[in-house]
Amino acid sequence: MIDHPLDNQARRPTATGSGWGRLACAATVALAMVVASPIWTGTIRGQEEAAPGVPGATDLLRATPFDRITLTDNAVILTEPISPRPLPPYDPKKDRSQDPRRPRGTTEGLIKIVGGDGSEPAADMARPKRTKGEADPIQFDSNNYLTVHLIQPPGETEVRDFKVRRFSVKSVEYFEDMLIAEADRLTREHQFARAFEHLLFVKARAPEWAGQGDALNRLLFAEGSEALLNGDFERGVRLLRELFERKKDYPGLEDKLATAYTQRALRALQLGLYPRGREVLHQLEVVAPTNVKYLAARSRYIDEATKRLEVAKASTGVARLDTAIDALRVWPELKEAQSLFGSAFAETPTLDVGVVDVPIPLGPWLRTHADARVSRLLYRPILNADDGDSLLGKPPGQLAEKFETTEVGRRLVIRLRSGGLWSDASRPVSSIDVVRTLIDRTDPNSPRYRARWADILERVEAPDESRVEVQFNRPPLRIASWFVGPVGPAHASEDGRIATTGSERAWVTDGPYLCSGSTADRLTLLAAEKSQSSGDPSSNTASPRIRRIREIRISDGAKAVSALIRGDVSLLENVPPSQLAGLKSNEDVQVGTYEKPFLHQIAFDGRNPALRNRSLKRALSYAIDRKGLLEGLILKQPTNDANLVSDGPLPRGSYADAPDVRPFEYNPMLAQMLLAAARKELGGLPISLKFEYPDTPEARAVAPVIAEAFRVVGEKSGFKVELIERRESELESELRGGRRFDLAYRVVNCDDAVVDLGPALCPGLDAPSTMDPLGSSSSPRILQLLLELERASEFPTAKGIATQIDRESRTELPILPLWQVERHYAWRTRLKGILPSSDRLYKNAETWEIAPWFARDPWTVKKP
Amino acid sequence: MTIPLRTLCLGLISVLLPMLQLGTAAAVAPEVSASPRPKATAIAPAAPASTPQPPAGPPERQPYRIEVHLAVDPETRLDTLRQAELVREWRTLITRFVGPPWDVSFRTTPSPLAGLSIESLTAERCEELGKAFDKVWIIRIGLEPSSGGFLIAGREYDVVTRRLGPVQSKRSVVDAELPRSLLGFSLELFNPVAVISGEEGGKALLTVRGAMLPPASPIGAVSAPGTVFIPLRITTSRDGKPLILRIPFTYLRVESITGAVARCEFVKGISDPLYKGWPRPFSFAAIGIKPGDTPVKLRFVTRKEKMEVPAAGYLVTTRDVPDGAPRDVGVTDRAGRIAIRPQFARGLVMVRLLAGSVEPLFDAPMMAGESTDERVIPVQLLPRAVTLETQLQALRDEVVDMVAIRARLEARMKARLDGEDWEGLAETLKEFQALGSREVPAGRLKSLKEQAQKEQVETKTPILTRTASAKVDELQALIDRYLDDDEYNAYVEALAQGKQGAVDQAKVKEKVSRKNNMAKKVAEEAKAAATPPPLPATPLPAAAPAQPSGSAEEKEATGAKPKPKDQRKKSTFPF
Repeated sequence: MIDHPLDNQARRPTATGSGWGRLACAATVALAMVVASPIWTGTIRGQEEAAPGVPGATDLLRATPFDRITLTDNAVILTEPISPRPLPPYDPKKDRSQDPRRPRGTTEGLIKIVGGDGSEPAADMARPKRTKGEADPIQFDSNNYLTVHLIQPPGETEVRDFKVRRFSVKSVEYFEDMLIAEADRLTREHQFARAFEHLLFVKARAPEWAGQGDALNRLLFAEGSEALLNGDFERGVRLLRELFERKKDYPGLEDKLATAYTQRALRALQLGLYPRGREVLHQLEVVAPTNVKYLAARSRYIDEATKRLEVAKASTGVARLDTAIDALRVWPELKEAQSLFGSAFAETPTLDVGVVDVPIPLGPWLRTHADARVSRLLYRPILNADDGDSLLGKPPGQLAEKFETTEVGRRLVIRLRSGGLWSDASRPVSSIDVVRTLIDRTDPNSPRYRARWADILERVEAPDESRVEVQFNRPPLRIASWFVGPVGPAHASEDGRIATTGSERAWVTDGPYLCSGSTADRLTLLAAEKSQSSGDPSSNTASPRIRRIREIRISDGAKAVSALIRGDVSLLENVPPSQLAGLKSNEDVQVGTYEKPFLHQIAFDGRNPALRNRSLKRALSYAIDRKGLLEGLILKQPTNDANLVSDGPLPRGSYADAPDVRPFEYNPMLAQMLLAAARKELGGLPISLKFEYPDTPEARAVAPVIAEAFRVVGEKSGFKVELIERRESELESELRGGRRFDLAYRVVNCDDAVVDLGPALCPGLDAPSTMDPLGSSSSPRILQLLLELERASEFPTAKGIATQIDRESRTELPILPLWQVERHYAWRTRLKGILPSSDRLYKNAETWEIAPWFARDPWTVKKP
Repeated sequence: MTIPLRTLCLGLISVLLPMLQLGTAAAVAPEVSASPRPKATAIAPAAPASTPQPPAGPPERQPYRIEVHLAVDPETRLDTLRQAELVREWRTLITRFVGPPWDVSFRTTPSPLAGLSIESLTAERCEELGKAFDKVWIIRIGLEPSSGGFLIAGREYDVVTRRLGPVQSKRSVVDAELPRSLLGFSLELFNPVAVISGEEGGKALLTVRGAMLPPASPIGAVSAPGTVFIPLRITTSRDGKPLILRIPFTYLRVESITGAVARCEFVKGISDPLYKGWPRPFSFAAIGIKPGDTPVKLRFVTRKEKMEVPAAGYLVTTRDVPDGAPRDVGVTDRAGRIAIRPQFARGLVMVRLLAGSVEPLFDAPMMAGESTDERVIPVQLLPRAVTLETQLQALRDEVVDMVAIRARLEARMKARLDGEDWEGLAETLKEFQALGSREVPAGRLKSLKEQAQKEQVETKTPILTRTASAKVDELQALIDRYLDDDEYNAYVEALAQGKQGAVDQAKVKEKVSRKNNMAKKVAEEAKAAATPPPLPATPLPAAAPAQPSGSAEEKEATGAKPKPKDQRKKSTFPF
């Protein structure tokens, strides 16, 4: 049955010999066939066993492609892939070799040996003689014969090309089919990745091979189902959706998808993740808009929204707005809720603000950026600013009507405006409140204590309700800067709160807003009534148009920007510099700039003896690649005039900025050497420090890299740094309170060098003496200069000292200055009246307006 | 002084003057084996205190007559019986361990100081107790709130010197331990008195009262090496009233004891504590002092425009006498105050106030817990000196950085030279040159010094203080030692020679190849002429190997790699 194309050449003389010879040859072939059958099988087995990576090996992907042919006698042979693939159907009628009338030899039908050049077979003796060179048309008919090349085990050189008669072939198992079968098997065994590889192989070999599409469908269904069972919704749904796109009517697919989607949507409903739930429902709607499960889930959403709507209808004021928003948050397309929201928002315009941190705890003091941001909304200061107009009593929002200094600045007389009421309506704001505030600042047990103030204050008196007299030990410089802070109520406790009949202690304020709730992540302010906020007759300002401000803490910069883009918040306190370009390109968003730059620095605590070591501080300074970090992690663009590496504690452009200061260098080699020296100087013990940083976007990006830089240069010296992330308000208020620390990442403003330089260089400078605040300065020299600056009574002297501090800070390193960065805020265009450039966020907040808006799903919004 | 002269004089005459007359001869007086007055080992606490006999014999043989004012807090739940037993056990222990030097009596009548707290006691109030005893111990036993045990607190009042000792305290965990604790407490409370009988070899000689009385055990000795005394000047005021003046910032620390004479070293913050040029008659005495448990409260002030200004923000350090390591106590607060807590001073310490962490403004010894009162110390601030030191420190940092970078570049230059990478060497030399020469910091240092000298003369205020001068010298030494340019010059020279050598070598190579070519040509011609081929000319070596020895000229001639002139061994880094 199998003809060896080369064997016939050698056997030809025999074949063309005498009749004995021919008989002998036939007998030999017959014997060979008798023996051959098991030999073939054995050979194949031998191939399987002996040759890994060749046909028969368990891993089809690694095997040389092959086909498996089963002959009529059930012999199985492995061949190289046959061609054409698949074989055309065999038609026995066309096979003349089966014609009973056709003369045949004794061995015909078993094996036919042909020459490699297609010469006449030697064994086929029964056939009638033909003229020389005439080919047998039956032999070369592809319907009758199949040319195969046996798989040759490695190392063997025997040529094994044969022709097989089609009628002798029982079946052909193609390699592609084997791959598909293996893929199915693997699918059943949940080895989806391997199964997919097999199918991919089929696709690569024969893109149009029949059966591979079905196998892929089976795989997708099985894998998707498995993923859903394992709780991997996203993956499961993705796979099933892929299947859906391939074959919409796959049995059970729609039901499975509907089940998965609805379960997910209902879970989102339970968790309050309404936008996500609606998105899931929308995806299901595309797949199966009439599916019962989809319709049921959708109804659940609408029912939930309707339930809230009913509550909203029954509520009034702020509660009505909040519940209407709740209803819309569940199902924004609820028409009735939309109209109710419109009317409720008109009653209580609300501004949601995304902030890095809310003030914790809230009170009449300025300890953190959050305090400074919110203070003016809640409390009126004695002076609006340290400027001439404020001293003359011109700004409407301040308490002082007149501000006079006598005795060469050692005595101060403040005349207060009358008419303002405290929010509890118990009494008007009067001199006793100012006196209490000023005296509280000298009490070390008060949270309002400020050591520098306690050092200069001699006496405070209130001769009458509208007059306050202050006597100083020495004439203070920048006297007005001490009076721009908040004034708390004298009848309340130190934190500005009073006990009420309810369980909560209410804040008593006198600003345009009052606090209605403060939690760790949220602060809610409500507009005060006109009688309170504009109590002074000189004020023409009306009650704020925005009736409610909600500050929501979003410390992650990217999330905050996303919230602004989504419309969850309408104003963002801080835009990370890296996100600025993206926001500026958004037409629904506008970006504003704070007038003063923010300085980033690392503070040292001098109470830790290691941090008074000069070599250590210098090593840490050399270890920081300031420019690289600023450009690579914060700005994500080259530095410019507004965003640049600092050369000292003062920003560029400050009146006291020393001009001739060398920039800080980055030299890790020197840092390494200095750190080794520091260890030696400190007694040879390993140095271990804690590095605390606020959870602001910039600090989060940079602090771990700085810590890693410290570790790298200190590896040989055994220097260790432990990173600790802290909430910004907590960290800053603790540092200001004099808590001990090692290294702290800080972001400070240094608007006025004379006033702000002290707290910038020594965080606990205003802390009570029990905390050893002066000891917290890591440079005794700079500390002396700061104390000298405090005592300076003339501005030129103070300016000279401030400049000297800036210059000497380069070598004394009381802190590690990093860089100065321009800070930005952003708002959605529906918020009107906000200034494009301001020194504080809520400047003129009383005049702001906001249009109603709620977030709708993008697929429901008709695009113009 | 409102103290009756008669009373004080009596006290002084009866106790101190005999001691002053005693001289050193008393030190070798034979020992007396028995106590001058036998003590009752068990005196009932309810029994009235025996009136002490007037002292007899030389002072070094006189015991200390001590009256104990013991008060027990009712919260301790020690009833009268237990108190009596306690006193009895305590006395037994005193007799067993101290013996003759102490003559202890217990006051049975209520003490006039009973209503006062230990801390608020004053010497004036204690004077009311009379002069029948040499010392009065005011002791309170109360509850220790933290541990729940007993807290014994008390002070000693020395009648003769009218000094109230520091507050001492001791904890006792259980009732049964109280007698032993009281003994330990008594030993801490007791301070001997002595007469400063002279000076010898820079040491003070003290004749200690009761020193010749043999103690019952070594712990009962009235003084031992390490005991600290405060020197006192006994004199009269202009109107003839007796005065006992404490010599400030001076302590006498016992080094050795021979008989009754203790040889003490001066631990002082002033130059001549036993100043002899006193305008009125005087003599010196001393009273022992032991560290107390209360913090030393100090307030540093300075005068500015006739006003007292607190010295705020200055670092205070302490150092155990004689050779302890300095420890940072803290920084003076805005009022110039600082409290030195017991953990920073367990005994006699040198307290130092530093400006800019380096310039000492005050340096004097102090005893821990010596007084509960705040001590105001005037100091002279030296802002200009501190400014100079800051500038010197900044300059030093620059020099250190320069030295470190130079060291790195020198290592690189050496590698370039060894590898004959002339271009690399030239680049590194350029980098080295960019750092600046030693003249820059040297010039700045010189200018700083000259400016300081000039300013010092003009303003007549100390600027180049001892510390500042030392810093100038140190920095100058640093520059001289580590910032010499010899090595750099040597490398420059080596580079020039190396480049020249490379050129020479190229010329030699060219010459050699020319010669070889000629030789080949000649050989070919000779071959062509069928004559025996001539011997090839010996080729010169392409590059002469460096000679291991030989003069510099020879090396130069052979193109050997030059070495820097000065490759002396230096310490790696000036830290």
